[in-house]
Amino acid sequence: MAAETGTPTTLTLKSNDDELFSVAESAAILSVTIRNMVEDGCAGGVIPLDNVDGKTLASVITYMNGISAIPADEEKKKSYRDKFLSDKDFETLADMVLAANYLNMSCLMDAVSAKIAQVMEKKSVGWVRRKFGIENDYTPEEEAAVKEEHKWTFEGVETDDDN
Amino acid sequence: MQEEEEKQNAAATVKIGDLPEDMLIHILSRMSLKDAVRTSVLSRRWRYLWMYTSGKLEFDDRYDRDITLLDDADERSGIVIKRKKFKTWVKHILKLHRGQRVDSLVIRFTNLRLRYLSSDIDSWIYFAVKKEVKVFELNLSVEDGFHCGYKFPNIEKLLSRSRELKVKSPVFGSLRSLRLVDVDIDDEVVKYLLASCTCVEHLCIRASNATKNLEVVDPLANLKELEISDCCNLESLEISAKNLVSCTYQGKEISSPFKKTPNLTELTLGGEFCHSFIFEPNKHSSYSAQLVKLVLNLKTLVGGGAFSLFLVSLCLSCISLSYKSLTLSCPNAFCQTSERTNVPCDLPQLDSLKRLELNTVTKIGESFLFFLSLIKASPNLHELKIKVNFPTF
Repeated sequence: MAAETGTPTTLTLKSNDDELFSVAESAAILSVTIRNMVEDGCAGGVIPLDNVDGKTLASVITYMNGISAIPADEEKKKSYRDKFLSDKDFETLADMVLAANYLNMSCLMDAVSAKIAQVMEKKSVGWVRRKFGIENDYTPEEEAAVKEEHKWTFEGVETDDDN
Repeated sequence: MQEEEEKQNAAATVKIGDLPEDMLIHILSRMSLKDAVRTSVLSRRWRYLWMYTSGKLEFDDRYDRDITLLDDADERSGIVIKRKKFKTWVKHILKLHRGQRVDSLVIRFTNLRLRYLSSDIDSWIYFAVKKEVKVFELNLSVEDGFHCGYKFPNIEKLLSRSRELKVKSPVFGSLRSLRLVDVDIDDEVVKYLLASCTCVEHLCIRASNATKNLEVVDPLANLKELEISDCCNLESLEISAKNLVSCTYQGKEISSPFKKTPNLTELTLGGEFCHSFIFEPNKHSSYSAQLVKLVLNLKTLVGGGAFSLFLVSLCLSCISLSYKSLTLSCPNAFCQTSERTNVPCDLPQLDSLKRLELNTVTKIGESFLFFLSLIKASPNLHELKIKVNFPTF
């Protein structure tokens, strides 16, 4: 965010499927991983991001540009984050968690985690298993025992025939 | 068909369920305790993940009555069972928790009757210390006003009793918010905590019978919000906190507690002290001029009675006309009064006051007269709220 020089510096990021993206340095350094590279002088050419694919990186850059354009106003930033995440499907959210973790972007990580947590609120076990791709590897007896131990957590859960 | 399709997708993309454990814990830490614990049923991998959550652990026997799943059993034995179940539930969850830290521990136990639970409650406090919580609330208030008399322990003694001594000093060094309701806490213990919790921003002590001569004095670099309410044995209170912005004091009439509070702009008053603020304004002039928001909780004022509704409407219509030009002409009907209606005419000016709220139970009669003069003394007022509760009998 230190834009003291006249022309803003632009960085080139490369996804793991070889897509190239241009992004203003001031926005890109929201990622601590990228900021460290810039500070270490490794950002001269192309910055390879081996753990992020092009589709996810495009999305992350949209977020970087969007959020860095908002002045220091936590309310507005929060509403931008909510809007940004509102139309993302579960697979995209999973990719975003991984990317945010790799890029060390705590604000995005927190926002995506909170979004996933919010989606899971009051949802049945069956629903979460289906949507999140979780295979039930309990034996029926084990599952019944775990359920019994935490019986109180099943009050007020949305009904689901696979519960 | 649908299942096959989902399997194909699973092979091609990352699913939330495939995320590494530390990221899943990150997600669980943003859920309610109930939602987080329920994930233990998802699969073996998820069974113990919730135990590492660093989020909010909230136990409230008012909202989680379902933990008891009672039949229509005898109500009294039902209450006893509920109490035991709640205690067992809290103990169980706290014992299972494995994470190093927890952001917030909130325990509201409104079904308490006897003192025999002291050691259990001590262990909750020990948990809060050990997990370096940022927010700690312990609320033992009972709806019918019963005061259980639980005494907040001396922390050093509490720690020395425990076998594990791996508590980071200073104790509660990360604490931002502390709320104690119906918990008796000695002045000495408060002093110890204030010295130890250097980050504390919000402190609330309500209905502590052990509080007598309380000092909330600098250095308290981060303290912004303070509430001291309903401490029936309070004899003196001194507040000197240069960064304090908002304060609530409800209770006995004591000499003005506000010593060095240059940034105090929001004040809520209740009880006898509130009466003193209204009827003896000169006692409060050292700080009243700096207030921007003032809330007066006049729950106990008894006044003219029959005219209350009329007064409210009169008052409101005067204000909507333009209170700046309002002249107070009291109809005789109002003057069936006690001496306290005699509003001093040398009322200190509340030059900064922008927001004024009055919360009262009916029978407001004479109190409203004073309310009008408060308004007169506040040339910059631009928001006024009056809440009147009418008893249902």
